[in-house]
Amino acid sequence: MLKKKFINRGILFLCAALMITACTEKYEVDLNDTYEDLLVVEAIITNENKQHEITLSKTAALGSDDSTEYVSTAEVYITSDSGDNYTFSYNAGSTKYISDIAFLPVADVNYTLHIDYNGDTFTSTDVQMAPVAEMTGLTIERKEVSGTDGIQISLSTNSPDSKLLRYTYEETFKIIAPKWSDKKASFYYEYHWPPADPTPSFEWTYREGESRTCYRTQYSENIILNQFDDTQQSDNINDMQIRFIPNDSYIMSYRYCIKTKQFVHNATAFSFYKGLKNTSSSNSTLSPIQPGFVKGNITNETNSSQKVIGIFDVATVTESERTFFNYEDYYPNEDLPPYYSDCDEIELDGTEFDRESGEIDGYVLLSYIEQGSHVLYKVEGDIYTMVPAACGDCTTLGSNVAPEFWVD
Amino acid sequence: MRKYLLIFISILCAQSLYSQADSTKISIQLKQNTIKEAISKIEAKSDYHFFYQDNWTDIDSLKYTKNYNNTVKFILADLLDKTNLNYFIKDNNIVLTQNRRIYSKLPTNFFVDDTTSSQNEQEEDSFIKPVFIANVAEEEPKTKINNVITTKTEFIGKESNNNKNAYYTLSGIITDGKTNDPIPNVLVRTPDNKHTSVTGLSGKYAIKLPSGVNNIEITSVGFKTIKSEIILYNNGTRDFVLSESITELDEVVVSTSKSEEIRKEIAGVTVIDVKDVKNIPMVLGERDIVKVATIMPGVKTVGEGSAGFNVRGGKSDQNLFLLDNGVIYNPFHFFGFFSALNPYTIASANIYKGNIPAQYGGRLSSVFDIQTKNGNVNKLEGEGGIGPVTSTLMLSMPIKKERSSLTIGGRATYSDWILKSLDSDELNNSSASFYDVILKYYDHINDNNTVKATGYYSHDAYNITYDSLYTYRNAMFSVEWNHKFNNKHSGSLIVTHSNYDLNIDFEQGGADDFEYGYSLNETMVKLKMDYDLNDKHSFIYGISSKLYNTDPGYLDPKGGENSNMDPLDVEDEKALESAAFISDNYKINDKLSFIAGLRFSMFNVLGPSTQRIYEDNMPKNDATVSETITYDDNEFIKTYTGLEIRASLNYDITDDLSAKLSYNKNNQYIHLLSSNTTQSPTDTWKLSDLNIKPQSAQMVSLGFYKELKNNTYEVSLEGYYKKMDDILDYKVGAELVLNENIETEIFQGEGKAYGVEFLLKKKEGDLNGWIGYTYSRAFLRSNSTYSEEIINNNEYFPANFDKPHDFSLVLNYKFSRRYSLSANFIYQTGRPITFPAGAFQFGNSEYAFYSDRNQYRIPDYYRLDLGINIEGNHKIQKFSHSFWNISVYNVLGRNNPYSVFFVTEDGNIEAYKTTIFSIPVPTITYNFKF
Repeated sequence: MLKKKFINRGILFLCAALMITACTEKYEVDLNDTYEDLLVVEAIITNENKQHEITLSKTAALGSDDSTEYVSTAEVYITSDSGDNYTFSYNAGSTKYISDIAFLPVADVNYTLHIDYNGDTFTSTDVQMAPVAEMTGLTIERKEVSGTDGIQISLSTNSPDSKLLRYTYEETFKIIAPKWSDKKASFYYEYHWPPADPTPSFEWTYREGESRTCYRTQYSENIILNQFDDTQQSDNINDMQIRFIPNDSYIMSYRYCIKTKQFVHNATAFSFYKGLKNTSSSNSTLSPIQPGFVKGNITNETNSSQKVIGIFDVATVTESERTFFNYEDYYPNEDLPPYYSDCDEIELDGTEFDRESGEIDGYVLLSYIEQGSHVLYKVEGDIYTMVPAACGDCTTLGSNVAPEFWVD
Repeated sequence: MRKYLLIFISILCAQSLYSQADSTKISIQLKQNTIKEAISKIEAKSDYHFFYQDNWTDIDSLKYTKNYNNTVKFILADLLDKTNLNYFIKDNNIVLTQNRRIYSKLPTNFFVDDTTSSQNEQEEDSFIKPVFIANVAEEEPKTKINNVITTKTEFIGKESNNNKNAYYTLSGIITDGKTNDPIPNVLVRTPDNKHTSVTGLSGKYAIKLPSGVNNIEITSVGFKTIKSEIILYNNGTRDFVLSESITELDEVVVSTSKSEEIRKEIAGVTVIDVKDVKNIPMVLGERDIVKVATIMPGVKTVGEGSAGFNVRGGKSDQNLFLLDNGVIYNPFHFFGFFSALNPYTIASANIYKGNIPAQYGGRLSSVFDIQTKNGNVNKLEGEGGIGPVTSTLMLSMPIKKERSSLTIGGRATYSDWILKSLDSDELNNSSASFYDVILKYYDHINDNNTVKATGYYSHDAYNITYDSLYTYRNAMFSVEWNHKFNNKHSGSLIVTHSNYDLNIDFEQGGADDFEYGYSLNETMVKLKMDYDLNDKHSFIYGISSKLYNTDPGYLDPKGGENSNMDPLDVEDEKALESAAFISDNYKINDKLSFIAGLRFSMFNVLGPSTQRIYEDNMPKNDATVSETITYDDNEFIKTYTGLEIRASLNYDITDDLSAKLSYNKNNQYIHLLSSNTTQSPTDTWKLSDLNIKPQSAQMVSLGFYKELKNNTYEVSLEGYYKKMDDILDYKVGAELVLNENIETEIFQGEGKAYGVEFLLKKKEGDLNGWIGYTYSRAFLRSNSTYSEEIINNNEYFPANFDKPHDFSLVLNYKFSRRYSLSANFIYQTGRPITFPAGAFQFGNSEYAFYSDRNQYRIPDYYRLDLGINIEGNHKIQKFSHSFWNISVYNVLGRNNPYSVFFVTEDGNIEAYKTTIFSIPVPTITYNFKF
């Protein structure tokens, strides 16, 4: 008894000590109070002779669900010290500013971006075209990275003048819905006399259009930057990892292709991308990051205390060949990776409409069909077996039309 | 006819017979009779009537055995010869007087002017002038002057008509009232020093004094002076008893006069009275001398849970924390709640925040010089406290009586034991404990040599989250040998070694397991000499050198073959920091004194090491490396030097008002990489190297100090302005842990800080304590042209520890001798913080962006603590003295946020705050001392 009393008291005091180790709580701070309404400029001009694009948008308050507000009322133009003046106009379809004419930037010329918006004048620092680098090869191999098996896609580059490289990729892959059927379920209401609470009746019909094999295109979201190596004194950078697909990703289930772009940036733009990448990575207790405002190279001349997010850069770009591979090239006779989502089959009796007894299959089936969250897999009499839409209808994930570049 | 003539003659004869009644002989027998008894016998045998006072000692003291057959006059003369009694016969009355003589007629030259009496000197001698005394002090005067005893007037010898001598000798023995021993070398003198005598070994004195009224003084060092009025009629004796002079003091503070002087000259030194610590309510009842320091103006902590202080706008790595001359790198337990010093072993704590003496160096903002007690060389003594979570004990014992002692101190928590007996599995395997031990050996070899050795070890282990165990250790060893060459010259040789390491063990039982660690050690040798040239100049000079070795960080994957972690080991660092210093304490005059100190310091970066060289005019990052150089062991990589100045001027405007002005220029060669935006303290130290320059600071401070109401109140007002260069801070997006090439993650910027510190202290009385208020600002700015190194547009932004308002109140009230109440209230402006300011679209993704660095503040911090001390009874002869302390920490229950950080969850940014104490924490502690 005494021991218990002592322990209880010990616990009481120790709780005080433990309070310390366990006292992290959500901090209710109204992030609307800290919201700053700033202009965001994404102006990467490349060494291609084309109509270049610049995106202007506004910042949004954190936690707001509004979609991005694109700026359309600004005047945008690029000048150079060789007398050029390239004007841009807003294109509502792409929400970007597109140059009125196609132009090719040249080396050793200073370019400056100008924006007139809302009575303020914004100017960038002078930027020259970055040096050129050449992609020497794209390698696809099955590899284990950090304990996980998968496919690694890496690049080799020859870049004598700069190591400030940024990569983007575009990947397209084939999807085959595992629980596809040629039928689809639908409902209808019958009207009879006397009128009573209508309950729908279900039927099936044949699907139209291709819904089994589709193609999905995704773009890189993370910022991929060249990692530097102390021993990198040579001009060649080998095995620059661009994309790693773990072996449990449905993406590579059948056939996959990837095309990468390599940008060579100037120091200021590269620092901006690096800062953006670092401050957006998730904060774990043991590898925290110093937060702060990532500075770009555009200033508000009219109101110099107001910050501007974004950069203007004249980068050089090279694009790789689109490279394909099949799953069985690297995983012969092995099971397919798990699909995009679980494909549980749900059997529903389309005649059950009794809420009181809990037999509500009919209502469930109705909501599935109405919301399109599940599609028909099998039907037998009044029993409809439904699967999640992605499992039975590939058009929920991609397009059933193969892209023009697709080669089987 | 013949018949009538015969009758006439017989009548005449009868008359003549009558006048000769004096010469009538009487016979008395005395057998051991006192004078009083003899007088009775005479009265019986004659017609005389005696008048005297019963209380005269001589009446009763002397005893005679003699037979007389003489006239009364003869008998009296004989009886009284050896006494100081005089007699005067008139008719049948005999009046006895002590010393004095009754005169029946005026002297012949009474009405003659003194100046003309010189001719009659010879004649004067034959007739002694009577002595006229205006006032006879019948008893000791009521008003006493300290340390002077004035006795009542003494009559020595017997006044007589026959005294022809002008001088008599007064003699006697002077003894010590306490021991009754005779005292040699006692000076007996007249105020005009004309007549003096000094007692010999026997205590006897003999002073020749003119007859009549004399004032003599009896003086001896350590005894109260006696002033006595002596009326000298004849040679005589008078013994004196001297009593020790006692100075009544409140408290005796013994310090060498030199350091007192220096302390006055140093503006901004705070001396913590160990006594004060007992009364300030502390977290969980722990007395903490270092926490007391943080309540004083000018010294701030970032909050509970943060290790380190910010002194006058300086970062927390700018404080040199010394325990017996050895550096302690993390002097806190439990994330800063408790200091890692055993409070019972501490003798003194001096905090230099305004002007660091030249003998200290290596840090920009302050020096905490903590010295442990020397221990009791005579008997065993101890002190301890038992609290709910920790217990502390100190024992001190003599090794060689009167010469050397050993002090052992220890402190530990028993939370580990408690955790193991709880029911939860998770808690069973958890750890939350700390302990520290200290050992101090003190040897007073002889009057010229003292040796002290201190060993210290502290250990902390906690689970920050259930799967990560965080431990850190401090170990320190120091030896000091003090040698006195002569009265002017003394020196100390000090050797210290300090070690600090920390570990994080992450154990989930999976592929993410790892162990992360960091360690640092330093060894120092210092020679410090004190030279008192003369009254005006005293010098301190010397040299010191310390060798640093650091392992900046390693990561050991523990997940076995499937580990997700890559091993990492940041390269070790080594460097040598040396200095030569000299300072002069120049006492210009009684009111003005000046300390001029110079310290020349040097820092050598040593190999083995690999250092990068970056391209000129480019920011330091991975892309701008131009070459990498490898250095061999102990090869000199780079040397930094600096001349540091420590100067201060002290002016005593009046007796209780003084002003101090000081200027300091300091260098610091070692940097703490810290960020307040993290939850766990993985701060590591970095030595300057090829790419990281040392930090430096210059500070000017001016202070005014006034004592009020006879030292009861002390008021001080100090202002300072500080400018700092090359202060390390992180770039935006920098990784804070395990950086291989940290120079790419940091920028070295400029700092400035200024402030005003006000302190009102009541030192005495039942209600005592202090009120302190500081207004201070601390700013940093980057000064680069490269965008990745520019923070807030290169404008000054508030530093992480910038807290403009800082108010503290400490009050102790003594109800009675045994009960006292203490209260402690602190208010600080909240710390600056960087908030997310919105989201934007860039490329294909959405990103969050942050406000300018430190643009906002977390809520203000305030806290009230209350405590009651109940002392055991104050009997002196008790075995041990004890007191209970009941305190409540954070009475108001405010959950002050310590850090606010942001985590991206599911694409959203969420804010979290870490609060340390969100409820009032009551504790009871029992302390004892024997």
